[in-house]
Amino acid sequence: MTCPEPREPGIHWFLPTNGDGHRLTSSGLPRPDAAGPGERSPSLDYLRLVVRATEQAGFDAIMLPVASGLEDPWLVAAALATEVPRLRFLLTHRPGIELPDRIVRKCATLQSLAPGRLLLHIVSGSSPFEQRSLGDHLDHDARYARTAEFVQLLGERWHGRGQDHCGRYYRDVGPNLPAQALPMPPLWFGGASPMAERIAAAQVQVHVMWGEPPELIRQRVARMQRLADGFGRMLRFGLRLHVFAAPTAEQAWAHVQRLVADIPASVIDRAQSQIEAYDSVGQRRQHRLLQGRGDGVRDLEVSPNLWAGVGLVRGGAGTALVGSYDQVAQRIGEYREMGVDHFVLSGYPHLEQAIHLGEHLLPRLRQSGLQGRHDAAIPDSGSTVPREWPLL
Amino acid sequence: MGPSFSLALFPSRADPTAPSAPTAWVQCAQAAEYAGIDGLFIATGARLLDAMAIAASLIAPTRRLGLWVAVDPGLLLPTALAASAQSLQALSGGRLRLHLDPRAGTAPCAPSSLRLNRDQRREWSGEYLRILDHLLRPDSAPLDFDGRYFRLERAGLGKRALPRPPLSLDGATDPFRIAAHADLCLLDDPHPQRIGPAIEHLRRQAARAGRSIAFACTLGAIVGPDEQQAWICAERQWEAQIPSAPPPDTPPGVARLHRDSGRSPRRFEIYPNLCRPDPTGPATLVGSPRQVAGRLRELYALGVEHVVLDLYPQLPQLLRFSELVLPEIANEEAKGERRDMS
Repeated sequence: MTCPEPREPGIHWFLPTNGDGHRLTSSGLPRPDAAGPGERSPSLDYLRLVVRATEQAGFDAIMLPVASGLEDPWLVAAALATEVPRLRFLLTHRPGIELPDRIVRKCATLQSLAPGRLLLHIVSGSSPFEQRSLGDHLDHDARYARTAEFVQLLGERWHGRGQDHCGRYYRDVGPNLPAQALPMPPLWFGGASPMAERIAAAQVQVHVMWGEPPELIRQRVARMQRLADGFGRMLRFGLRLHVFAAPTAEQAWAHVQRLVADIPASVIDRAQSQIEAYDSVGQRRQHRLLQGRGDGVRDLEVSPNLWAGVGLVRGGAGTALVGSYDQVAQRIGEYREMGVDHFVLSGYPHLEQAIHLGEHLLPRLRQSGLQGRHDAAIPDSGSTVPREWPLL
Repeated sequence: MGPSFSLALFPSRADPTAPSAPTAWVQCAQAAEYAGIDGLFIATGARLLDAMAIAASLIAPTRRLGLWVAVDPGLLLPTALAASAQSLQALSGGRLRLHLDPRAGTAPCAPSSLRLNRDQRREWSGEYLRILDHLLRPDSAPLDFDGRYFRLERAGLGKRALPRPPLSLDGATDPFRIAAHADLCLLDDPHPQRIGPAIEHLRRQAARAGRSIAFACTLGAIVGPDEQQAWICAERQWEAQIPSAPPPDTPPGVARLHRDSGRSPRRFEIYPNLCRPDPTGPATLVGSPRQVAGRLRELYALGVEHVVLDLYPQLPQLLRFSELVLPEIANEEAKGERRDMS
């Protein structure tokens, strides 16, 4: 594989392609009240606002998820990539529903539209219900085996080879494509099982994890670095987290308290029963953070400033950093010290929070050396004038 | 009335030394809209880029241009295609028309990339189309499908209430399938004496299935101030495009034809003003604006409601077509109405 190493570490944002709003249930799955007041549908006009705000705020890349009911990440990226000159697009792809040749073609198309700005994030599916609705009946281990074969075959097809590939999941893939002129996009990868870890260590550039307490992340990073060393490879790490930050910790926790109070218990119960059915080690790890905890908001603070309450209603990334801007920056710095280079953040609504965190969090991270690449002026972060937190 | 028109776009892989391909696509789309053309037909093929993504990139630069997008069904599951089509339909505000091009290339996307014989491939296509057709309909129930090639449980998750994008099938598809699933059929041979019966036949089959279909064909157009100049222009153009020697695998009869006849493109005239020098390329209308308009109205009367215009050089021919031919079609329509009224 001749994929280039990703550039410097970065802070990234997230595009809510099934809708957005102020509530914890406003984006992601399940999405019980998509049509409620204040809920925003993922129209091209709205997604464009989020993408532009993300670029202007100084984030490095924006992650586009994939799932049934979400807008197609490739189409959204193709529609918006030329409207922002610098922002990179991290597209999520699940092997199993398209042949590698089509992915090669789609990557080449996006690279025409946005040269050097495409990143590919490979995941392997988590909801058996959803997988079967797509016509995919493989169990967890088989899905990851297929992913491993897919990633390998993708590299071969990219370089104009692989016509004779005769594997367990792909065979007779068709006439050879010409080798691509541009390098393959960097590969990011999500998956927490032992199989997933081996694939990540052997084949990809960045391994993404959902936010967990620092000690757990430290263990995972160390384990995977050993695995990667065994393959003679360099592996980098990314963390996916929501953020609720404010000038003071009290304000941030008060906001989170209000968000949770807003959710009916029935919605939580329904979401939990859906999430429990997921066939995903990563999901089980997120879910376990909620177990054996009290009912108060602070009871779900599973490590300093790391709150697991998003996972009450949302599958996928279920944890958030909650606190003052300085606290959140500090926590990110701690993860950075244990080897995590990339952070994919989000907040509700994604438009206003991109602007908000761009103004208050990114400069603090830049000062501590996490982001090095930006021309955007760093605002006066030493100001002591108290400011209204814009969203309260 | 005359046919509606879509301009063909063949988005080839970017040549790193050439000027930006996306700029060219936007130019093509905006030119079509400016010229009063109804839509863009974005082709697919092994050497072409992804038509759906390109269509998405053209949503913002255009206002109302239809996006007729060709896809190779062998490369992805029907559930994935339906979901992407829905997404494009939502993002574009209902401008999508979806074309399945089975000749675009590769093996079907089956769980272990089976090598299928012809009958098996027909069966695979049949299952594919049934699933796709069902999932594209906004009001259809979640689908349980237990076939030989596809097995789905409650497919159609996340389907939204959007107008169904018309489904366009290639004329080479099994007529039974066209009758059962197509909203539009893109026929290869536009010869008026052959296309008329072909349309009638498919219409009858569709009617038996309780459905109606619209028909389309692809045509080039070389329009000159008069007939003679149009043919001169055609000769000059095809001289550059058609090699002096036929490719090595040309059938002997065609190769002999190539050798024995002169250089005039009129030797490929299959019908007045209709010329097909390259059997793998589109037939081309060659003539004065009135002649070209006349042939288009003739085809329209036979049932060709949509025409894909494959023009070269694209922008000059497009503007000529728009400024000279479209008014002729409108004029003839007006004359026809006056005749009806008198």
